[in-house]
Amino acid sequence: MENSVKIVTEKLNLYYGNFQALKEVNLEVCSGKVTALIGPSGCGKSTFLRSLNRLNDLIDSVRVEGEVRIDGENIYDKSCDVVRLRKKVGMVFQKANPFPKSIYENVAYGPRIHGVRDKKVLDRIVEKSLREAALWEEVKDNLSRSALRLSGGQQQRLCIARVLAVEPEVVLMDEPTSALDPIATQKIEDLIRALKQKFTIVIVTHNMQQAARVSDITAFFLNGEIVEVGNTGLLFTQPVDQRTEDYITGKFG
Amino acid sequence: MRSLKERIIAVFFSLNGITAILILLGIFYLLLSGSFLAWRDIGFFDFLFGRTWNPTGFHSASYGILPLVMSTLMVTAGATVIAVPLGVACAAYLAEVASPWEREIVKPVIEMLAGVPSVVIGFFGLVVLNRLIARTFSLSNGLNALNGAVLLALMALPTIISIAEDALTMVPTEYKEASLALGANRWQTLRLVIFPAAASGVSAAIMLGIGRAIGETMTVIMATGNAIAWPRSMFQSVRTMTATIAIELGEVAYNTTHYYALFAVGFVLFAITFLVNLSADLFLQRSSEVTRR
Amino acid sequence: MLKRKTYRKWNSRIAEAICTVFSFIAVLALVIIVYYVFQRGFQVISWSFFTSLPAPVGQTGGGIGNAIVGSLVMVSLGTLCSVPIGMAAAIYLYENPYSRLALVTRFANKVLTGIPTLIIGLYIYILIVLRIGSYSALAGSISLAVVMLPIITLSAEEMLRLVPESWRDASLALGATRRQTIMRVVLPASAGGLTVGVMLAVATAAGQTAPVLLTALSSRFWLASLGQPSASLPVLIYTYAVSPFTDWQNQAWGAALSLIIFIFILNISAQVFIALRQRR
Repeated sequence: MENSVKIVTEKLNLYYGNFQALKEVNLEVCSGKVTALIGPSGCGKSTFLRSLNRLNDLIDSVRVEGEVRIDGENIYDKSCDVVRLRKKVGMVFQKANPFPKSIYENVAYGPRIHGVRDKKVLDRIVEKSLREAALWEEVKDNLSRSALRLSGGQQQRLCIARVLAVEPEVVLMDEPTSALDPIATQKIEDLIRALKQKFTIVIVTHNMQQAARVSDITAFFLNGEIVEVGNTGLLFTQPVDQRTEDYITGKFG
Repeated sequence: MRSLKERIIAVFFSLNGITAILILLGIFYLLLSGSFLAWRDIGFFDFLFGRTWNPTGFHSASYGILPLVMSTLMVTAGATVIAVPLGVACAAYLAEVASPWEREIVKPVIEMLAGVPSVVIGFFGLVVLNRLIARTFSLSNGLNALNGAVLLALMALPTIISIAEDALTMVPTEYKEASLALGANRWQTLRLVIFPAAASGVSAAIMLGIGRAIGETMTVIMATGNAIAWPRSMFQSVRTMTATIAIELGEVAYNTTHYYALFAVGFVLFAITFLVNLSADLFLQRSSEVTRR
Repeated sequence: MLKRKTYRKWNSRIAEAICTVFSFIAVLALVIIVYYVFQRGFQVISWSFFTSLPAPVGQTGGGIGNAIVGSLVMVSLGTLCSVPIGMAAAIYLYENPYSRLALVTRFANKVLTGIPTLIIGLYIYILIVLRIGSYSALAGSISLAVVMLPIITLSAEEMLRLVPESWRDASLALGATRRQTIMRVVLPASAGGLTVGVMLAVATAAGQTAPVLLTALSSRFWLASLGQPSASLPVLIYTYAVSPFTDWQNQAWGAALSLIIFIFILNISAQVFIALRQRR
């Protein structure tokens, strides 16, 4: 896949009531790459992530200024179809949240709500998504089991499969492994590396080693602003801004 | 971009939502309009403050609601005197004193008490409590305000207990811990810290219990004797507003003054319970503001 | 200094003891009532008691069959009417929690639960019984539906809100509309809680006397049509209890026992269900 610019935010400001959570954020996210957002707690990285699929709309006091363009279209324009946007831009959450349904029904949920009814088509999508999420082999024998019976790591991979089932172009991940043990974490990181060829991935993480392992581009957020953004390897070894260096070396955060 | 179908569905849901509002308005309107017809004939103040309720009087009918109101108040007051200490103490017990397994037993029992129909409790009062009271106080029969008060207390108890217990448990543990850390014991903490903090919720619980008692019909019909009289003692037979409506509605002729007078009694009853519930709701709102801190 | 501390300690102990004793008085009250109803009622009940019609006035024997049928029919019909409306209203409240209409609706429902059911019966009496010209099982059903509606609406809204937000977020993030999220995720997830709410509403309706008395009156025969008066358990208990016939009073105990067994089964099931969910 050609590395082209997929998402552009331009002068993005976000307010929770009177509090400004994002200040003039300008960022370009390229397809085929993993972009990591790092920074201390409360710096706005999760808020920024949720702006990309307009999940912030759910909060009443939120006000957004600026533009977020995906494939050239401003998603905050009045004419934008939020439902279609969220099909295109999927999200995996910090704590795995599979529905209280069977494994099959979890993955089939997305296609179903977008109109797919044919059982054979659904079967195919479910298998494909579970394979893509590296979960198929572990669950293929009993898809009707409740999703809540899976382990934490499996549940998170199920949530990834659930997102993949709607065939998005972008996958947003909000600290996807922070609740998982090291082995499960590694499986998911392997998955991310495999997925980046097909999808544009933006991952929020508070774990700098993870960002270094997994991402191509890293953006450092501080107090709602992007302090520095660049190639991951360079950012971690030769940070330009002093604040970046302080954060990386653990002086705060 | 909401399609027409989405909008129709939304309107459908909201129509269902306002059903309760429509019912309430309907009750208010029907009762009030009937009451006006009654007050036109009887005179509003004669109705409200008249000391005799004798709609089928031979020479002249009188429609004074005061004895009915007084009877209701007397039975309710008696019930309150019994139910409030018992209920609040039980709530305190459940919230603070009881061990988990004790709570597992007592709470469900209280819920079940709440489920006993008023007619069964009234039956109990008619047969059992009747004889008990008659024997204890050497009366000819035990169908009086006291009987009704005890039974209404039984019916109000579960309401008071469950809401007061909710209020007590919602008090932030930080208050409790701060008090205990200063050396206070459990009772002091309860009395000086928890109860004041839960005051609004406990008040709401009491009001809702009272509201329940005021609106009870079958229990009082079966247990209080139903003699229309100015209530002078708890050992006297009384007739409440609810009993009056239930008993006389079947005997009254359509479109007469007596008929509309019953509407008026119903309206007063509606107004009283409405106000009691309204205050309770306000107290509950205040209580949730306090505990949200 | 020590004496004051001991005094306070004993104060505390006494207060706790009083609280405990008072609570057991409440428990005792229920036990006594249930014991009485069981003791008096048990002797009367039998299969024929449940299935026969009342005997002609003055004769002994007979049963409460028509009252059981009447209650079943009216409570079922009332449930059928109030559950869809109550659920739709709850969904509306869930989707628009802060709109002015929602605040008024919630308030109206709360007030409705506190209104004496006698008044609700009076209302339906005026609205339906007078219009049609006779007491009827239909009017009885509707009065029960009005009694049940606010209970169902308020408890259903609460149950819907108990569903974790993360499921809602996940569904919306997949591109589902609010409506799809409610129908396919929130509603199914709260199904158990919703059922409990309905069960408790049914238990309340089954025990109602005043509204049924004012709308369906009573009858000594099997229910032939919805447009006719109907017997019901609570009204039968009342009528027989205040009557001068010993046989009728005994039957009233039997009817009372049947009624509270039915209500207790509903209540216990609801509580067991709630307890199981909390344990999860």
